[in-house]
Amino acid sequence: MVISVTLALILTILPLPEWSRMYRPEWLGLVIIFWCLATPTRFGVLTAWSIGLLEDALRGAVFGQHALVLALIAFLTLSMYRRLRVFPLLQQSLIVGGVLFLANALNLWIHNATGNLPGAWSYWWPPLAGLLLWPWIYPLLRSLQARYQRS
Amino acid sequence: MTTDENALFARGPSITIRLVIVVALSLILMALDHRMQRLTAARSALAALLQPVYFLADLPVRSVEWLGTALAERRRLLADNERLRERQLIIAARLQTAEDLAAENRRLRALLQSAARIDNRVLIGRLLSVDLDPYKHRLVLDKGTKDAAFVGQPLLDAHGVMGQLVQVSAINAIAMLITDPNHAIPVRFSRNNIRTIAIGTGNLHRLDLPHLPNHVDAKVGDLLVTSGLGGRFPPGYPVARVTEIDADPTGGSFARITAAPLAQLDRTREVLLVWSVSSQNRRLLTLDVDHPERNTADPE
Repeated sequence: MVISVTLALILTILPLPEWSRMYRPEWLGLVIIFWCLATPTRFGVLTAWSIGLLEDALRGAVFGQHALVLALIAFLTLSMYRRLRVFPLLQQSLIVGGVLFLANALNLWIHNATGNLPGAWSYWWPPLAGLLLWPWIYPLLRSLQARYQRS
Repeated sequence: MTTDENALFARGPSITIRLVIVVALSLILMALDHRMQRLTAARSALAALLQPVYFLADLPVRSVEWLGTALAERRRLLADNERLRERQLIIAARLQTAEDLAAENRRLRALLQSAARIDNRVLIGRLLSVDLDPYKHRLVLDKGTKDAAFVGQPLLDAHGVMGQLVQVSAINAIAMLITDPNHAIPVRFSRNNIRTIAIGTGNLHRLDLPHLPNHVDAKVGDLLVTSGLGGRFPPGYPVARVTEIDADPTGGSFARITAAPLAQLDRTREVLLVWSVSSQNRRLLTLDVDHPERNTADPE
């Protein structure tokens, strides 16, 4: 878990070519959704919140911004994880996309409340990118998790 | 699965309670951070903890660069060396006249009994190639409190002012560029000394000068330099060049003037951190980092 979170933190600030910067998915959000599904008893809202504080410090954002966003993601996932787990992957992705969309809305709202933001439609790409990536990320993390839990 | 279920029932209602707690905590933190800037210490401690993350994210670009240098042909390196040596010679020659001029300037200032401009101390910092947020213009550099960097410190490159530090940890610092939509820098026209404030637009190649009347004496190509008001930036450094003047955008009485920053905000890898005497004195005052324009509001 620590490794996946660290990796997501790195991916969050990894330099990307100019054209793809707008599409960078919320890696931490995806990882948090995964752990909420995989080990809902050990991974909760408070953990997600603490990770969000790290992200805030990392990106120089207002303290509590990403913390709140990630906590919301964890809350939404935990509140429906039993249904979500048995859904087929496609349906799961759509729900994940919805959760990320809501979280993105909250993020933008905080962004706007604490500073001015030039208006652009490209703010809505990251949740879509997250939705498209989920069918790859979920099985990958799942298999890694299975392997390391057995050993 | 059964343990899962049991555990779930045991803490079923508490998820909501936890969310409420966390929301309250976040709101308090955001208020503390945004309105009062109380969390600088906690911020720098966390950022120091995250140092390895910056390092790893920067690693791919750095290793590619290293490979590039390692594999560069010897001939090219020699040519580069030759070129740089010539350039250094030219600059050294120019510097001699500059020193002469500086001495003359000091004499004249002494005659006028005005405060002499003392040479600012500078340090070269390297930018880490990390992307913090595509909508905020922030950079990470490899200097921190160990190099005596401080929040609010001005940042330059070879061509002009780049921005200022907004978060400093032991070994890293985050800088806000002058084009960040939350940034404002006090400037004056070098041609006629009209003072104004240049505000970031979120576009790397544009600054706005919103507070000028439409009969102002401004021309396309005018150079804007730091005015030194507010005490944050040392006076006299080039900032931007006027690119566009719309004297009467909406029939109002203010002109819309835009300028292009002179610093190569998107290409530079090395930056200069400046310690000016005035900025060291003033950093003892409480300064409003997220709203630099408030700091510059004090009249001359």
